[in-house]
Amino acid sequence: MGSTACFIIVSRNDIPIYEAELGSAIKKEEAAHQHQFILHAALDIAQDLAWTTSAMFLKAMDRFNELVVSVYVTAGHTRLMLLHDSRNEDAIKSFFQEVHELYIKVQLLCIV
Amino acid sequence: MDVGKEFFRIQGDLYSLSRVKFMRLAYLIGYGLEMERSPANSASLSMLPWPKPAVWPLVPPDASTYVLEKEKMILQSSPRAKHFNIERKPLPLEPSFLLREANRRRASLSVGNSSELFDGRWNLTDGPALEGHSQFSPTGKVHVSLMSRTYSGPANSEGSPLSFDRPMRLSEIHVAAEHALKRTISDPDFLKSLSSLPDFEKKYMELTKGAADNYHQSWWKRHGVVFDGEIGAICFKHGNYDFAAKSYEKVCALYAGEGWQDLLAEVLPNLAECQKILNDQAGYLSSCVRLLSLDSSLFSIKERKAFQEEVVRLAHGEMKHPVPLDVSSLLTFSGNPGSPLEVCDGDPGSLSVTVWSGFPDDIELESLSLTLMATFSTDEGVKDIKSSVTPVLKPGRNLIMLELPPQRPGSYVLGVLTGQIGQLRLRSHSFSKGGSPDSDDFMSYEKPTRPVLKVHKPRALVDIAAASSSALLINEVQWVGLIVSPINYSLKGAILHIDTGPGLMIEESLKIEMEPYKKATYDMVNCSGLNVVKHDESEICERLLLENGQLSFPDWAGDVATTLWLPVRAIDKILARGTSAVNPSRHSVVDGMRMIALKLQFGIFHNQIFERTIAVHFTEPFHVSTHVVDKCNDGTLLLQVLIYSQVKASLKLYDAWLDLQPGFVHVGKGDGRPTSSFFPFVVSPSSRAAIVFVICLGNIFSSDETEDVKEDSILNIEYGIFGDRTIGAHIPMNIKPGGKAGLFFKSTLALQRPVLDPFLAVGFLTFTSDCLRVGQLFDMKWRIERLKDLKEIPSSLSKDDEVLYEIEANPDNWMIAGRKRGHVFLAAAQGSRAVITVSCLPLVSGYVHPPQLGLPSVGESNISCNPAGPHLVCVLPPILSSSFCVPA
Repeated sequence: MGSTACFIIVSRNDIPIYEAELGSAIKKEEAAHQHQFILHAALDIAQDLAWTTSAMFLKAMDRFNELVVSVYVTAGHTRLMLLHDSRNEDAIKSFFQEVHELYIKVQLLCIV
Repeated sequence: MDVGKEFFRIQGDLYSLSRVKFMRLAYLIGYGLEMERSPANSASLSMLPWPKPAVWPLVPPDASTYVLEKEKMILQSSPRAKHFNIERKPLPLEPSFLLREANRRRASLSVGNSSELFDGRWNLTDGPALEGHSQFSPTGKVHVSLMSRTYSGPANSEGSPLSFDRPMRLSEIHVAAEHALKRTISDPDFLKSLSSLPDFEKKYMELTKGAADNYHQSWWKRHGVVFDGEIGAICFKHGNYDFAAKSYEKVCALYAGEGWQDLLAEVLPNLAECQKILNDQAGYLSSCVRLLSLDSSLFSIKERKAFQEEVVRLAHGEMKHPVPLDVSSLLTFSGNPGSPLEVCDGDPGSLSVTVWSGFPDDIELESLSLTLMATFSTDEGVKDIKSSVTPVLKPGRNLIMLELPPQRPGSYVLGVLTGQIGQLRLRSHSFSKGGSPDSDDFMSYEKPTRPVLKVHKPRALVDIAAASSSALLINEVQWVGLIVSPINYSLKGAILHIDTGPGLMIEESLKIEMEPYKKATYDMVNCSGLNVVKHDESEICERLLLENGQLSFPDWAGDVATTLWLPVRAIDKILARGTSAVNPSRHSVVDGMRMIALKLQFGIFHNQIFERTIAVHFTEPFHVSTHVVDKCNDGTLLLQVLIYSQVKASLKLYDAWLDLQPGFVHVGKGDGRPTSSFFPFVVSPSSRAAIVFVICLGNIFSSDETEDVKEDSILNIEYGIFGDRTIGAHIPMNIKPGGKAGLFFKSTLALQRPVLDPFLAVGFLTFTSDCLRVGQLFDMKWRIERLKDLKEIPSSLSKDDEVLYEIEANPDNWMIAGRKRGHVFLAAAQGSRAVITVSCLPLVSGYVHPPQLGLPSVGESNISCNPAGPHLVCVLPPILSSSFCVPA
């Protein structure tokens, strides 16, 4: 079974603005619902942790059996959430940082 | 960090973990069929690995009845059909097939199995779930020694009554698991909770409530709401629909509020089902609309149509009262791109709007209307404008025409869309962005300020003016031109009512002409020839019939300025009067003015009215004045008749003659007509000509007494006119343009004989004495002299050679001695004289009027007082006389 991952960008108002199912695993219909549910439930934890640290990357803040939820909070309180089963924190952190840059660029384009 | 909330959070976590474990155990026993396959339960259980015993527990020997019961339970169970016939693959509660897992664990152990046993150890460190190894130990620790013990040989297989050849059925797995648990669980309450379905549900409810309550008191509200949903599912199952609906509403509110549409799509049908069972029509309809508003990829077309059918069924169904429904997420509208519709004040119109429908199927509305909001006033006096036809909205873009009644001036934006299906009152506040039809982004919640309708302030829409301001011929058929100019408005279908005032009538034998109005230069009147200005043959010139005083505008005249030519005749029975020294006054312009009252009814519904009264001037072609140029010694008068052209057209005089009044005669033979070689001569527009007649004084009374006494002379002129109807007077339509035009003009002229025509002179002879005294008699003498021979004088003035005289004196001042009245003989010859002597006695002193001589039989104009008599005489008082003294 390959790696599974689900990536969601949640706005400051807790509304999902981007969603992507990643990974090489066979896609299951029900998996999508489960991933959504897990990430939604993880919002509570992210909300708590975000105010306890000044770091943007909250690492793996929630675990759901084999799946881990990592969250990256931007300055505008937009949350980049990744549901994954791998353990490579550095890779995930650099991934979040790249996404953050792209996100800023897209926002600026929208303004212009 | 709030320690209290953290405590509740931890407690909630513990409840949640316990719940999951409990559910897993219950599933093993066979209660999985009764578990709600919600996203929460599925997420928890489908990723929770199965227990990993070394060998799966075996079915007890005497458990065949239990097995049969379980079989029956499995067979009898059927998944609950979802409302709206929504077909979804049920969410799993198993990480993998239990049947396979259990049977795999049952098989004789091989090397392959050991790797699995060791793998299980690593998964224990940081997961929230406890592994199935706890089956052997409540503490949940892994006993490696136990595993190694099982590794060494098929120790457990000896006790098994079943052979390895036949795999366990599911029912057998459940029975085996139940039996194993009963052997290992020591807590009686816990055991009881797994002994029957109601007990399981009770414990399950308790754990779920515990988790929910604790999470609600912590920061983790979402977790709490999700567990509320699980509680709702249990209530639904047990028929407590009211509580179930409340719980589902909380969950839906959470997911909807945060926009997690996938999760909402799972829960919303359940809420709708509860509302339907509870007969909450408004809520049910609202849920159906929300389901329709969700992303269309979440439901199939069939399912979305089912939502729509439910809405329509309810709308036409059992609803007693009108029910409002907000469909702002399904129906949006916008005005059409471009400039707003512009109408004039008081005009109706039709407004086109675009309505986007998010319904999956065609939806027929009984009515559809939009409100218009005025931008200039803040009051919400909105007006509904209705669609003219019953609209059927197709999915996507629809173009709707709305009938617009007349509105007040101002600009308007679209307000709210309302529609009706049965008892359902739909309402939408959402405006579309007006993007391309293919774009998904047609929903916009911003109110656009772009106006869709502009009603202009009342303004002039049309103007009617006279084509020419100069006068036309009176008493002749003339064209009166009216220029009808639309001012940015169509006159299509207009009706013009024409009413002529007194003294003016429209020639019914002729039709009214209508042609496009040309503003530029008109050809000037060609004075040299007889040509009238001809219109270009290619232009339109339509002849219209006037019926009952009104005529209809043809279609081509709707948008262009046109000239209407009315054939009219102004009537004036009074003969023109020439001016002279005797009769200097001229008639005023008002005499020739005639009025035409016009009323134009136009507009789309003939609701616009324009009224105007046009004044048209009519005049005689000439104005005549006379002037005595010279008076000859023999009494001949040269009478100059000045003819002024009063029209802006060339007038050609063909003949003129003067019928003289009694007392005047033409000199010479004939009737005094000017020489024919003088004619024809042309009088240019507004210029003048003159004809000189030679006349002299004649007898006043003609011999024939039967003829009518003519008081004035009459000038007759036969003439022709060459003008352009666009400029002023022109040839009347009943006269042929070629050849001699038989127009006649008559004007009266008042010729007055000379005022002074003396043929007698009366002179006063001076007094013989210088002073007159009271009481002193003296003679007053007048001399009468004949200035003309008696035969030259008209017989009416003087009949014979005796002249009657009369003395007039104030009897208070004078005493006349002698005759006051008498005849005196005056010879008939010119120059003959007679003296009249009268003795007078003044009675008073002072300055007094003297006696006057009068000739009663002779007119004053025939008497020349030369020298004139004194106006006053001085009378001195009497000399002192003793005659008045009384002798002593």
